[in-house]
Amino acid sequence: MKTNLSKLLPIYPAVWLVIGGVHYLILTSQLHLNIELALMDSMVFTAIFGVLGVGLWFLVKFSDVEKLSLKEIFIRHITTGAVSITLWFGSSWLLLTAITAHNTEYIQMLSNTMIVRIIAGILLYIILITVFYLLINYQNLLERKAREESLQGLLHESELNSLRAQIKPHFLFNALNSVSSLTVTNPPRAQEMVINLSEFMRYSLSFSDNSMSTLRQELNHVRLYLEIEKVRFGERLLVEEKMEESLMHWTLPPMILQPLIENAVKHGIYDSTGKSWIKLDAVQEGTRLNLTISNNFDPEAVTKKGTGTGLSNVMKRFRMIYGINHLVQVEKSEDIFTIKLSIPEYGQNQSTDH
Amino acid sequence: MDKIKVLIIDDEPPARELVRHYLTSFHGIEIAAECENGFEALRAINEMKPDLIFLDIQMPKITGFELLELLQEPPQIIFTTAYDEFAIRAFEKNAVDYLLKPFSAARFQQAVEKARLRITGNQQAATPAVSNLKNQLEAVDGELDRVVARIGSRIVVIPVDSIHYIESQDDYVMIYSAQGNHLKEKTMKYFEAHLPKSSFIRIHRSHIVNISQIVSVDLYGKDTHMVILKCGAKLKASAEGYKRLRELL
Repeated sequence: MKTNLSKLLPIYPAVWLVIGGVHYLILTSQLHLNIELALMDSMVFTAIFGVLGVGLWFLVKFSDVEKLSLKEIFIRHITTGAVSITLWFGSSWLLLTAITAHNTEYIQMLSNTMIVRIIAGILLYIILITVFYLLINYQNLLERKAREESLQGLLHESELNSLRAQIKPHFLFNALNSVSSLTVTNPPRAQEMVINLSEFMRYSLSFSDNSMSTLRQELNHVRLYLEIEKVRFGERLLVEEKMEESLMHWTLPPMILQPLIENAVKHGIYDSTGKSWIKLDAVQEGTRLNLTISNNFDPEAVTKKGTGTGLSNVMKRFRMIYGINHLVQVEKSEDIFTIKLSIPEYGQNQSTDH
Repeated sequence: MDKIKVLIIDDEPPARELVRHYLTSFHGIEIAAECENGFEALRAINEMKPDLIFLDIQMPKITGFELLELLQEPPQIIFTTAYDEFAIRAFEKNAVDYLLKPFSAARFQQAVEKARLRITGNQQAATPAVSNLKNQLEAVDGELDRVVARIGSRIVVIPVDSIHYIESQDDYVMIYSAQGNHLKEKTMKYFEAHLPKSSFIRIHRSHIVNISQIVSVDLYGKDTHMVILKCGAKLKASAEGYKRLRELL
C-alpha cells in the first residue's frame, strides 16, 4: 500500500510550483512588483513552506491521532502552526532582506503585506494538515482492507481443509487388524492390502492446497477404499460401477467421492447383517457431470445419531468451491439411499475468490 | 478338567480368523462357535453357555454393549475393538480385558491367561466383576436412541421414539411401545437419566411417559391428575410429576 502514496510524491513539488505561480502572479499584477523581485519573493516563500510541509507530514504521520482527544489535537496544531508560521515568515523575511540588499521599498511592501501573508500562511497550513490527515486515513483504510482480505482468504482455506474428509481412525485400525490377520492366514493378500492401504493414504494426504482432481483419480481412490472394506466384510459387500471412459478426465474437487461412498458403506453394510450393494454411475448432461451414488440399507436398523457429517461436509465444500447451491441432492426411499451430484465444468462456475 | 468354551463375536471375518489363529497356541480351550452379529451371538450364548467370549463393540443392528444387556448370566468377556473412546480404562478392571485392534499375540495371550484364572479360579470373584461392568456401562451411556429387549431368543430393537411409556415392575421395567410390551432388567432411574430429556418425562414414581404420546391431562382427584395416552393408557401423575409436566408443556 506504500506504493500508493509514493506515487503521489511527485505531485507535492508540483503543487508548490502552482502555489508559487499564483503567489508570483499576485505580486506582479496586484502589487506591480518587478519580475526579478516577484520571482525571488515567491520562490523563497513557497520553497520554505514546502520544506516545512515535509516536516509537517512526518509530524502528522507519526502522531497517533486515534489516541489523542480532539482538544489535544487542537492545542498541538495551534502550537505547531504558530511555530511553523513564525519560522516560515521570519526566515523568508531575513533571507529576502539579505538577498535584496536591504531594498527599502521592497521591505516596506513586505511589512505592509505581512498580515495578509500570515493569514494566507495559516490557511495553507490548515489545508496542508487536512490533506495529510486524509491521505493517512486513506492509507490506513487500504491497509486494513488488505489485511482483512488476506485473513478472509486464510479462513476460507482453513475451512476448506477442515471440511475435507479426514481418514477415520476406526477405519484405519480395523483395516490394520485385517492386515494383521492376513499375515498369518494369507500373506500375499496381506501384502496386497498394505499396498492398497498405502495408496489410499497417499491420495488422502496429498491434497494440501486447493488443487483439483479428476474423476479417474477419485474413482481410483474409491476403488482402493472399497477393496479394503471388501477384505473386512467379504462377500457381504457388492459394488457396481457404470461410467464412460470419456468422462474420466472431468475435473472435480479431491476427496469428494470417497466420503460419500464411506457414507454408503456406513449406512449399508455397517448396519446390516445381510448383503449390501453400492451403485455408482456418471453421465454427462450439457456442461454438468451427473454422479449418482446409491446404496441399499436395512429399514429396520435404528441408526445411531451423529452420522452424515461426511455428506454435509461435501455439500459445504461444493458450495464454497463452485459458489452454487443445490449441487448435491439426497433421496431416501424405503430401503435405498441416493446421493446425486451435479458437477459443473471446472473453470466456468467456480467461486471467484480463489 | 473341562476345556474352556469360547465364542468369537465379530462382524469382520479376518478379525475372527485372527482370534481363532491366536487361540490355536493355547491348550484346554475350545472354540464353540463364531458369530458375525449380536443376534447369532445371543442364540449361541444361550445354547452353548460359553465360559468366555471375544466381543467386538461396533456391529450391525445391536452393539456388543447392547448384547451384554440382554444376557442374564454373562460369561467372561474380552472386548476386541478398534474404538478407544468407551472409557476403556474404567472397564479394564472389570471386563477380563479390553483389546484394542490391532493387538499383538503377546497382548492376546495376557488377556486369555487372565480369563483362564478367573474361570478356573474363584468363580464367585468373577461374577461381581461382570455386573460391575454392566453398572459402569450404564453410567457411561449417553442419551439413548434405542433400547434392545428380548423375548426368548428373539431380539427386539426399540427406537426410543416408538416407546409409549415405561412402567416400573419390581426389579424390572415394562416398556410399552409400538413393537409391543417388553420387560427389561433396568431401573426407572436409569431410564429417567438416559432417555432424551426433551421427549420423556417421569410423571409418577412408577411411570415415564413419551410426551408426544400424551392426548390430554385431566384433573382426577384433589392432588392427582390423569394422563391419557394415544395408545389408550391412563396413567396417574403425582403432584410432583404434574408440576414437571406443566413446566415442560
